Amino acid sequence: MGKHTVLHLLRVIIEMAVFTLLTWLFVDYGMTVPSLAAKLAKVQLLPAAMAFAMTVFIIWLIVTLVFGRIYCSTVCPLGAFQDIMARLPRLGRRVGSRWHYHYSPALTGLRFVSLFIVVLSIVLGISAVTMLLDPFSIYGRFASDILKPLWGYILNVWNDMNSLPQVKITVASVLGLVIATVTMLVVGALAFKNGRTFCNTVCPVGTTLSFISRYSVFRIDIDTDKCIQCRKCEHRCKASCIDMESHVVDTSRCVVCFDCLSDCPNDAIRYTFNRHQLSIPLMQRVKDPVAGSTAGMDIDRRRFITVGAIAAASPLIVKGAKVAGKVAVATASRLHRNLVPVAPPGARTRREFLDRCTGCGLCVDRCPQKVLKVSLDEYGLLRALHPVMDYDASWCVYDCTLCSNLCPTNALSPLTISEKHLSRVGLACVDIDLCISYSEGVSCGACSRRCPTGAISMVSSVTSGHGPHPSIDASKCVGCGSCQYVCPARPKAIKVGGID
Amino acid sequence: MQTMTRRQWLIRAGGAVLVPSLLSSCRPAARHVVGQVGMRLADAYTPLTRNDCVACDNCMPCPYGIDIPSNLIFVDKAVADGYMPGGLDEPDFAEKGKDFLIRYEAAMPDAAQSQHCISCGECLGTCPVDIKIPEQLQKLTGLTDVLRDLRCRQLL
Repeated sequence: MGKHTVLHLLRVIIEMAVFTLLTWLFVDYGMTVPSLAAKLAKVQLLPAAMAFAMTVFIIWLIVTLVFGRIYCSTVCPLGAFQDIMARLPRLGRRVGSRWHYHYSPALTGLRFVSLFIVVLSIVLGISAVTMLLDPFSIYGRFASDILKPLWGYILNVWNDMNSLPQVKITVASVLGLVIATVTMLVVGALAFKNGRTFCNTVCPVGTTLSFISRYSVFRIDIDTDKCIQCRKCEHRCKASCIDMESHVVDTSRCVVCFDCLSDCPNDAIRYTFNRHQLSIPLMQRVKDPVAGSTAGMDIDRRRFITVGAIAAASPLIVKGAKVAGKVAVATASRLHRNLVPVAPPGARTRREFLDRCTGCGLCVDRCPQKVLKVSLDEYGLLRALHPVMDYDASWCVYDCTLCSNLCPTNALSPLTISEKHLSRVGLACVDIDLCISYSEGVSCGACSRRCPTGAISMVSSVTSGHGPHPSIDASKCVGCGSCQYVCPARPKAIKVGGID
Repeated sequence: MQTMTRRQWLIRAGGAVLVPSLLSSCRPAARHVVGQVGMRLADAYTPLTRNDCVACDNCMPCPYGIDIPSNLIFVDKAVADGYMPGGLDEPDFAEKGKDFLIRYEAAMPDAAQSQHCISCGECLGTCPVDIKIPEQLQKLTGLTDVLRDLRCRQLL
């Protein structure tokens, strides 16, 4: 086994291990998944950038500068998914020429426009664009909306045969299903046909890393003295980045999968830091042959610096905007008569939460109480697919901090149990005319009994003919929804509204 | 804060060094579960005993949608089949509790579960074997509350 085969094998093992763990994290019923999987969700690049987890972000940039875009071939679950899809028609040692990959020039314009739109939407706080293009969220939605129910059915057949209790399968909303299916069909079909097209055209993570990876120290390099022009490597390159005419590997698009290495009959293509024969200017593709190589290089570098600077600064810009916004929100914060939806615990302000969340669905998926659901139009249709508390279905356990500690984008900041006890997500609001205790005289008090903080007391009304009604101590209420969940009146007499 | 003897501390520190980080996902030993439940829930919990419900359905219908006989029979069955958790300090509490909660949630639709009982007393006096239904349902809720709390802390 050659050195290159070892590299390739190592890459495949790591990729599949990460992919399995992340998929397991999303489809898991119960708590069987190792805690390592949750940590892998935290090192995803775009969520880490949204979380201002600068250590993670910078480490990935450095790793990319040294090794190239290994991120795309190891840690990214959507990358692994595309690799599987691309491999399906190309199984076996001899692959028909119909399924050969071919070099295609980089779609630089599309990549820049796509990244620019994402950066702009992050700055402006339009999370719909980010959530549709972030690879981790795309995969997360696919796994939790489509794979998880399927796995549930299989599990239930197994449970049925062994007379074990059935697991409860929750099916996502139509909008969530449609978006998950359509994005996965598009990405899957592109991968099936052409390999890593998504990564090298619209993926914001791929484009950001490509700015760095084109200067990477280690890279795939072709030794022109040894190359016999058999094009085997080009036909194996799922990133379509090996240009056989000029013997140049476009490292901005190369995902360092090592597929090409094992196929070379003459050992001419290698993963190395020695650049053979090729000087730096030639590494860049020059659009206009008349303009000369140095000019092309110059433009490329300038563009790299400006776009890179915007990309690097965008989270900071968002942070600045958020700090300014927070003051205004604090003064305007009051309990509205028209109740607003309740964001999950750990959200700092509703606005900031909505801006940061990329809709990967991890919190909804892992919530043990199933109190979180994927929003449809609660926050507005443009803010669809964010998590929202559904207190008619369940309640938020007072001591539970699971979702806030899982969130990879820091849209929900991690809470300890004592912090959770002090953090308010909403406020209960009573309509005593609907209360069966007040209007019908039923001895109830369920809300007051279930309240974990003792914020609700049953107060006897002075007017005759009415029973006691709940009264809420706003200083104690954390908005956990226990009261709304157990309220026996229909429509519910006690409801929890979010804090705006 | 729990005080530790020197020996316990040494054992624990040694364990922390020896156990590889990959194994950190293993669930803590059942014994440790006890101290983890908040006082609020621990106080509300008393171990359940058999109801000997005869499933006559006299207590039904419950105005608040609880399936009373199913809840009572579930408890009886759990006691009979040995997955009814005992006191919080029992070593197999978590193990039995996990089994209990999974089975309970699979057997009972959400709206029929005991936490919806408001102790209105409509069912009192209907039971031929004199089960104190609201009291039993409150006890059952106390148990499921403890179990759900533990599940949320990933201790179950």
